[in-house]
Amino acid sequence: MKKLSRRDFLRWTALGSAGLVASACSKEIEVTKIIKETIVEKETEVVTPTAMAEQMFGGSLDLILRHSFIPEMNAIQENQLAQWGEAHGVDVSVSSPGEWREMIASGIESKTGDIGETFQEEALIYGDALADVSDICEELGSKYGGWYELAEKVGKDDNGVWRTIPRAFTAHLINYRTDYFGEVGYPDGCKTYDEYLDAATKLKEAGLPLVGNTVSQTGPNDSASWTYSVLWSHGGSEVDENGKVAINSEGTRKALEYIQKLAEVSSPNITGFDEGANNRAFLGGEISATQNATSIYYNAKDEVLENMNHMRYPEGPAGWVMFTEMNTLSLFGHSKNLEAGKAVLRWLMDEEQLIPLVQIGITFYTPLLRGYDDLPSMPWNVDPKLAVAKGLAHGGNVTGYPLPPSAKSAKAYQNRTIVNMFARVIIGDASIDEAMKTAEEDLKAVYEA
Amino acid sequence: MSFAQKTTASQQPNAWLRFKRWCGCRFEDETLFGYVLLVPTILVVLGLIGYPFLTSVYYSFTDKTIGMDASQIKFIGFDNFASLVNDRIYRKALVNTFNFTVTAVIAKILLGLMMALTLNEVKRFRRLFRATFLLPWVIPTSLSVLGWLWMFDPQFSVITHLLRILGLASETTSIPWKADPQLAMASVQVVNIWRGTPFFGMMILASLMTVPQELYEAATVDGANWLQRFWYITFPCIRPVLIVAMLFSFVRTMGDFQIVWILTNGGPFDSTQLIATRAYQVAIQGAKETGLGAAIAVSLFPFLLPVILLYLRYARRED
Repeated sequence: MKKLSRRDFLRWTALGSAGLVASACSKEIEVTKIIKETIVEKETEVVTPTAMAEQMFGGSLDLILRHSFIPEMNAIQENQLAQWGEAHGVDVSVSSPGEWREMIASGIESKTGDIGETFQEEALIYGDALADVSDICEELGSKYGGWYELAEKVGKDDNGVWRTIPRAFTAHLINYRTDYFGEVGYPDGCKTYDEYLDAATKLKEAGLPLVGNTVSQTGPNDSASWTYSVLWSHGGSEVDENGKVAINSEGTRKALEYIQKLAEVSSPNITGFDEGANNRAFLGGEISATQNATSIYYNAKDEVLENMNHMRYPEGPAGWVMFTEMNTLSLFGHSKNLEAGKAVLRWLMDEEQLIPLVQIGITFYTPLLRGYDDLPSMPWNVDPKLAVAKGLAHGGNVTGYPLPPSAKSAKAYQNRTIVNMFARVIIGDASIDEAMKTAEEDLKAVYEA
Repeated sequence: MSFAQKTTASQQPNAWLRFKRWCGCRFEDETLFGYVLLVPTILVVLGLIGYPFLTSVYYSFTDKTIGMDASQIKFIGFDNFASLVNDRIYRKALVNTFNFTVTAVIAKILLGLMMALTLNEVKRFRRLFRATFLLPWVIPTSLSVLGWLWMFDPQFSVITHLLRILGLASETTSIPWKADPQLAMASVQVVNIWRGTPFFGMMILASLMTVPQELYEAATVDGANWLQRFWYITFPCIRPVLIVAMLFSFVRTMGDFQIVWILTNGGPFDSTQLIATRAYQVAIQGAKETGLGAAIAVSLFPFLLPVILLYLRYARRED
């Protein structure tokens, strides 16, 4: 069991003091400052076991959770779980490695571990290797205003059984410089892709830092988020509603033509960005906009922090459709402590535990239950710069759209077919027709094999 | 029991003493004792190398995915291998792997040879120089590649900055180290060569130090220049070690994973995709097709087997 040791107390006190000093030296995000001073300290208090104990389960639980770029998120989860374990007589161990997905795969294969935070549609691929958590999901839906459709797509298998609990999605937004965009007539961001292209063109003409939306196999998650969204919003898709490969279409052509025009007025490095390079470029003032989660916002300081904001991915000719990065909690079917596993998952998804994570996560974790949207404590209701994140899941989709996600759509995603199709056109490695043809062949090898 | 029987019984060696005498008889035979000492090593090799390898071979003939119960696994013959023939990304990865390996190994041989010849002539601070040159090989791959990740950064590359200082690139030039297919492949090869050269250097240096100096003296007296001394004395002496090092490096380089995974993730558009990274992508990520991923990994075996046999042959000759 993990009590608050003297070392932990000294560490948190030092962190808190350092936080106060740092905030005196530079402007810190208001919401993060408030959260650090209230939520983090509260969450690190030791809660007396009798306050929570309803049932003593015994045994142990091993959890593999996603590592967050916000250290406090990892710390809060560890502390919450330690307290739950203490209260219920369960030896809880938590790991949050960078390669958490591979560790989960290893755990499922070797039948070790109990709970994993699966990514995107992984839970559907693992299938009945994961426990049925329909009871928990139905309860949560009833309690918190119902699930977004996206959550059901990712959580339920073909038989309608919930195999995973959609914990939260990671909001991807376009981080942009309000000063530069303001100079070219878009101080509040852009609503459509055409407006975004217009802004990018004017930025280049004015000699201001260019936009830099990652389109690179080296930065797979950011790139997928952008390219899939551009593709879908222009009417293109990997497959049609009958599951037939439909990438070679007018919608895809429009998307590629758009990205070609945008690339001409973008940073020349977008096809070389890795997952962190666009962050560094934005924070270093080299680019004026990029797609990202809020890790840029979290690390921004001074002039950049003051002059940045977020906009949603724009709307295209086919509407507003965006790629969404999902984090789901899965209970392994081989777990020797299923009852305790279900109890801790139920507890973790309770608002008392989820709200601090959502607050400190500043949309890195955004719940997929509609009831959270209007809670006053949510980051999008506290910080005006995160307001656009409210209800973001409404337009969200994952791989395989317009069909539900599957092992095939996951394979196509992993092959980076869509990302590479766009990248080849940008860099001039292939014409639009050639790029579509290659993508079509690759997708047929996956979907129609 | 009578007194006589008790006395006889007490004079009989007990079970432990009998066992020790039995072992002593056996271990007087040094050959048997040698094999017994090998048992722990054999168990480790079988457990950590043999079992995973045989399991991979087995999986490559099945439709296994991660999490699939053993009872659900179906034997599908050569279907996985057949599907690789039509897999555009696999074919590209295979070509990339050979390109990557051959280029990197040749470069490592040449640079390693230069390094060894140079270090052999250094008299002062010999140990310091040797330790310094060995560093790239000693530092854990992941750590050193993170440094290269920064060096090849599209915005803040120190190499681009250096070129600008030297006047070889303009202030606005941005070199697409990881965005251009040829440059990306060159980048990962440079990192592999940087890491692997010290291995060749040290192997060749060790061999150089065994070359009798009298041969060089005699050659000098006979009027041989440095090239002739190298070609007729040095090279024949170091050739066996060079071949062994080359074959060993060939096998290791073919299986390289970390450099490409961290630096380029196989991009841009699979131009640095290798067999190892592709196998990982297919088996562990994506649709988690362990069987297909195993087939990708095992598909290298026919190419590696002749290399391994050659290596063993030359290694024995060296003994």
